[in-house]
Amino acid sequence: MDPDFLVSVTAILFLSLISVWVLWLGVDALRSRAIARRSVEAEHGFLQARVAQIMAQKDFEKEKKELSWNGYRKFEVTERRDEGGNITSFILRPHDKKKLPPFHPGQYLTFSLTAGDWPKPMIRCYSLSNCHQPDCYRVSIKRIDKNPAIAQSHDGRVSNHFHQKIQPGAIIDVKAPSGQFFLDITKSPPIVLIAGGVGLTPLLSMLNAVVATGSKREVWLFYGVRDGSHHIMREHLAQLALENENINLRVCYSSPRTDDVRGRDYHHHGRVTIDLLRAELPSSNYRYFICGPADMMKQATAGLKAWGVPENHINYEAFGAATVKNVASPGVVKPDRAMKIEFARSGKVLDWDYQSESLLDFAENHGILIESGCRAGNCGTCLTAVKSGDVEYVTEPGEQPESGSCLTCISVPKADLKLDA
Amino acid sequence: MIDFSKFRYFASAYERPSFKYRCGRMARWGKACARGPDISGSCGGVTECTPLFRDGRHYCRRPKRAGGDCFDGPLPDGACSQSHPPCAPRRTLRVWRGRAALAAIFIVISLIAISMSSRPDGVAGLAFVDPGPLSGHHANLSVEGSVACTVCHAAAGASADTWLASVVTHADMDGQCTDCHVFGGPSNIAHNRTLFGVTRPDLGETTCRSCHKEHKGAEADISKLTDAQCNTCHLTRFDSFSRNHADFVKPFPYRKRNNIIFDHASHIGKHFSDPKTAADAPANCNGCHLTEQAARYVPVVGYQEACSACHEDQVIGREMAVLRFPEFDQNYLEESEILDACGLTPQQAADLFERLRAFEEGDRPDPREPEEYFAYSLEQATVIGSLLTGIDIDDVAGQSEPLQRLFLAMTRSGQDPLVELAATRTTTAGARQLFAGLSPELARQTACQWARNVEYVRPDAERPRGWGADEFSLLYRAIGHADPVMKSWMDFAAAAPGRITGEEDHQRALAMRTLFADRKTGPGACAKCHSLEDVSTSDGVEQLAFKWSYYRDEQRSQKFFNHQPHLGLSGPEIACESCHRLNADADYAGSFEDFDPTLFVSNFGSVERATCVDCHNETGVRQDCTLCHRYHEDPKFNKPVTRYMVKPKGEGDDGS
Repeated sequence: MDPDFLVSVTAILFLSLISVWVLWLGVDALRSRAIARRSVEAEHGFLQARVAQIMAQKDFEKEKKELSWNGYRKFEVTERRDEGGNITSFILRPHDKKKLPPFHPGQYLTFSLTAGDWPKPMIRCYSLSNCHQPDCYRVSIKRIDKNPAIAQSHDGRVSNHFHQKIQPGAIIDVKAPSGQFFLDITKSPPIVLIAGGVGLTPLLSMLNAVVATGSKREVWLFYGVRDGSHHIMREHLAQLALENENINLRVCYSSPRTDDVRGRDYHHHGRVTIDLLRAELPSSNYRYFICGPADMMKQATAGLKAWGVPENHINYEAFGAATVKNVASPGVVKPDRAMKIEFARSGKVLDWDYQSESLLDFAENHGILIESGCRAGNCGTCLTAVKSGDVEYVTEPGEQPESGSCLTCISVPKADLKLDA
Repeated sequence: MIDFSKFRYFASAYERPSFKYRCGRMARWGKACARGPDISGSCGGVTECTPLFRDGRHYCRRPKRAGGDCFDGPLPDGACSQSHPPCAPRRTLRVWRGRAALAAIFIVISLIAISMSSRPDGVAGLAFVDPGPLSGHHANLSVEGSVACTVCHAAAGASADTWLASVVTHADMDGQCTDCHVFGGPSNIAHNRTLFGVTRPDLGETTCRSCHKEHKGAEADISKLTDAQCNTCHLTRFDSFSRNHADFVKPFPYRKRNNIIFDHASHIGKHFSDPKTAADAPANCNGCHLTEQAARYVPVVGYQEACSACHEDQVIGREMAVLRFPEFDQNYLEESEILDACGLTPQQAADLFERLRAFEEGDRPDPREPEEYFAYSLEQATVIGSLLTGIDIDDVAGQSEPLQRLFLAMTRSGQDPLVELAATRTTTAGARQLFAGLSPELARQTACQWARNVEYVRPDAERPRGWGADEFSLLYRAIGHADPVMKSWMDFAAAAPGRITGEEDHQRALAMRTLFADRKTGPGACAKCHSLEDVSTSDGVEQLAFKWSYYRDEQRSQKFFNHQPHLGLSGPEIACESCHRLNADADYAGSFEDFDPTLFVSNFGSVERATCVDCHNETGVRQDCTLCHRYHEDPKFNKPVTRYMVKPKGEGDDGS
């Protein structure tokens, strides 16, 4: 073949290819511009969502601030419902019929109750068991019975009072919702709720809040009860799990009755253990909210930590004598000379043991009685005067105590201390 | 300048000079994400990290640079919780540059390929490969009526690889220029100048295309040189002529003497004011120098107008004695031989008649006894004669017989014996020229007389110009200035010592040259003004020559000064003296004693650069290099360009 012809053809081919390439460059530029535009729009949407979230938070704070109240407010019990398993829900409406402030799901109400045979009002905290409603609160209270296995135990005075005495129409004093154990509904990391028995109540509030806000965040609820009779809110939970694919419900019966059917009534036989979590969850990358009996909470917390979950991702409701507290890190070195704690009224001088979770625990362990309520630094029952020395709070108190006093349930000594107790 | 610090590892996780993409956010907002585009050019910053899965937990791996572990941490399924809308990464400038360069190369190659293959004769088929019109006469070069690329480009029409190679090497251009253009020296040596024929390889070779760029348009002056081009090679660089050009080497420009010895100092200072000659003296320089015709040189009016008024008498007054009847010791000739050639003189005839009458009367003398010889002439032989005949002037005994034999020969055939003798010292034609115009009768008559040992009696009273004789001498007297016979004798005398070998003859030749070169007494007074110069060639033979023309033979072709524009500036009267300042103390005449023209002391002081700089400076007149300097040595054509034809390619190459 004529080499000139070949050269020509090759050259023309080259030129054609270059023309095609230039055309393609133009198309590519358009395409890339479209991508860039979409990217900008997405960025815009993302920022708008962020702004909306921040605005929602602001609104929430504003509303809360405007509608909240100080001290106790009169509420009327308008309705009570037996949930089963010795648990009764009470619907509270403000006596003044004014709007209620919003609250973070997981927070609790502080009640001050008086009864004829009580020397002074009893302070108790009960978790709100529903998400925010502008006109009413709901608390679910389990009646505490005397534990026959423990000799010194007695019936829960306040819970029994609620169950027996509080009927619709009753007026009770309630503090505004508070508590550090709550779910921030403006954010959306996936969460695991671990409930044991009546510990479900704050978690139910959270669950309802997630559903109510329409969030698509992934939620796992591990609900451990003894058997079907203690399985409260069964239909409600089942319906939520059915209607929302982001909500996963796992109910565990530790000792199912004969008529409890696995698959219908419950999913697992046994307690909520870390092994169950490992088996059910794809990974440990969740925020954990735990509320339940002390043993369960201790085990779950330890198990999660062992699974690599950082401490600040594990939230638990701290109330009662045996709940999990910010345990002093094992690394704390005991100084040579232990701090002296003097209880002036009892006349005892003791060495601080560096293991007790709070001064209240320390005092109770040594037989010194300090009245207490929520044990979470909220109700102010355990307020004790500090005669000398200083204390350190392990968690932020719900209400700053006046100077010269301390909330013994959430404080540890900083130095030698003299308490008026 | 590229800020290379942006490539440091801590400044950017991904921006590297060789990366093909850069972050789209960077391009849009100037703030790149922490991860940057991935290798395929898609957005790598949708998430801030790729979490690590270990023991049932995903761990955040966001680098510290980007803030370390994020607060939210990985999602349960292992996805990063910090997601962003993807950007559209941009290609880096480097990629575009590379693509543009590649595309340009391909386009150029393709277009060249198309254009080359589009016409069977290989001549550009598309206008964009047309290199542009040729300048001036080059545009007329043609082969068989079409544009003659091959005249200059040897590779034109050759195969593609030769063509491509020549694009790089330009080798096809070397050598064709000298088909037409030749110079006074090698064409590939700077300034065509060699030092006594020796080239300096360390200076490298030059090519024509170093300076001359063709295809710049019909009006382009491709021979124009800029100062910058000169400075490309010249190591001694300077800004401009006025600022720091080297001073002229003294004496400038009088490096060699003139051919004509004209002492300006003595003429102007002495002769022009002498009452005897003042009438003929010129009023100013214009009297002799034709300033209206001034160019590189200012011509002079010439001898007739400038010199003859005073010097004509000397020219025709100084005779040249070619041959002389000298003192002889005895007669070597048979009387019958002379009689044979010359016949009887009236005196002899009278004598003979007397003796015959006496014989008839019975007076019979005894057999004749030889008469005692007495020398009639006591003159000395001429220097010219001694050279021609090989005699010694002082040797009376030795010179008698040869000269008498010469005279005898001349009695028979005029000047021919002289011409023959001269022909042994120069060419036959030269010898004839020496005696041109000499009448054979005069030669014979003088010879007859001198052979008879008597004087020659001139028939007319006044000796005429040209050939003549007096009692004892054959003489030549110049007819006027530039007499050809006298000139040929001068040339003969100047050349003789170099041409004649043999100790004695050489001495005689030198004596003759000395005679002619004498500025005060020399024949024809030629040597008074015409300098005798050493023109020895490189083969070592000493050779002198009289310089006849006003202008020197060799001219410095690479420097150029034009008098004309300078003369118009302030009038010719003072214009000359502005630069040529008379120096009365200079030993001008003395510098002509020697034959070396370079040992010259001018009548005029050296021309200083400062004089030129008065006008040729930044704010004045041109002062570029080529105003005074010419690059080429003696540029010319080696053949008439109009007859130049390039043999069409292929013809004769194949042996047909």
